[in-house]
Amino acid sequence: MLARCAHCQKTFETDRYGVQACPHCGQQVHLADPAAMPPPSPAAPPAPEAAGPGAPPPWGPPPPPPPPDPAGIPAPFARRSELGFARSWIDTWKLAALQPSEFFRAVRVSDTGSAILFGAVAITISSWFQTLYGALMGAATRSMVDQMLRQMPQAQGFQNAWVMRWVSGGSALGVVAQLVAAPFLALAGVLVMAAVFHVLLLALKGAPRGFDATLTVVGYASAAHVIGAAPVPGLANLVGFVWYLAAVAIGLAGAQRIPPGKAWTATLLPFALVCLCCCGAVGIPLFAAFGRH
Amino acid sequence: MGVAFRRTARFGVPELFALLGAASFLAARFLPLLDVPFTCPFRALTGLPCATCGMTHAFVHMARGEVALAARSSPLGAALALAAWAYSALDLARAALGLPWPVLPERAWRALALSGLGAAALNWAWLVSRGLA
Repeated sequence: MLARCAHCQKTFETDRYGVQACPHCGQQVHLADPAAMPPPSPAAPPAPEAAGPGAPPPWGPPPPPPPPDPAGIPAPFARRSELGFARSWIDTWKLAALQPSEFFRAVRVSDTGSAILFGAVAITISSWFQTLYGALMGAATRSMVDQMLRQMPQAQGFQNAWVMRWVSGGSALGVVAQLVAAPFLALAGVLVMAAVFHVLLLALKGAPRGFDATLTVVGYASAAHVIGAAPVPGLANLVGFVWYLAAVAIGLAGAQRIPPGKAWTATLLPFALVCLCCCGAVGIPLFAAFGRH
Repeated sequence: MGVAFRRTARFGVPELFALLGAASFLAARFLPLLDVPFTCPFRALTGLPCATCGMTHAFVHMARGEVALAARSSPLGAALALAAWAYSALDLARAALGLPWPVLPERAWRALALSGLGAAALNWAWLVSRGLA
């Protein structure tokens, strides 16, 4: 058979595979045995025959990179057993919060357990910090909320010691209860929000990759809730929430392979209603306060 | 619109939803949810109920077996509570027995989603009309 030296590029005749010396330059040449090589992938071009005149040599240019895995790339957090919990969580946080478009287009959507756990951890961290801030600033919060509630039309119903304790986190038992309940409520929050978004996606014909993709997006997009742990109560929550909505919308478009318009509609529609309710909650006392002066 | 069956992990996302449904029953049955003096901000602002008004009452009444009261609070809430708890019981039993999971085609899921949204709209209309009457 004819072979070509990788060093001097000259051809020579040989009857065996393996390591041998080039008759022209004397350098060691390795001729790989095609029978010992792994079978080619279906997408790759057929392997050249080493034997026969005119056949390309086995040490030609490197083969093209394999095509991307259609199932997607596992998120770092899905590889937490090898990367470590903290490192994989932080790596995933950076990708989901800072590069949502690239991340959600490429991420594997079948690892829903990892996404749920990631989201529950993110929301729990935020909840714990908010509970602690609430406990630290209990007195101030209590007086402010008390003032607000007195101006509500249903003032008598709101002047309840239990509600005031709950709002201000006044009792140590209440704080502990909130800290203990936070992971369970976070888990429920991820599941319920994914279900709500998915119902709207189904109605808009925007869920070609199924519920797993929606759940993966909601879980990893919950990374943004960690911003709510910043020591700026109120503002940090608002920033985290808006960031979360943007990450969900961008993520749904990428993971479900749908136009951004559908993704944004499915994301914002439930919150438009909630926002209306929240605006009412804030607006009533303000309206009452301004109306009095 | 056929239903296929496939083997799944013994504990997966469907079972998490089943546990969530079971937890909602326990909360509705044993926690004093109706003692929390909460007024819907939407109702306080407009005088009209919001789309989810009456859900807590419906869940609590259903958990106590008071079906008529539950349906009067929110027909959708009563139906949702029943569906959630039935799903919880069936899926947890399925997982315990190691039976396969029924896989609905996407068209069926879409029909269910549209029915759910339609039911929510009808429920809201009923609540508003009752509030105005």
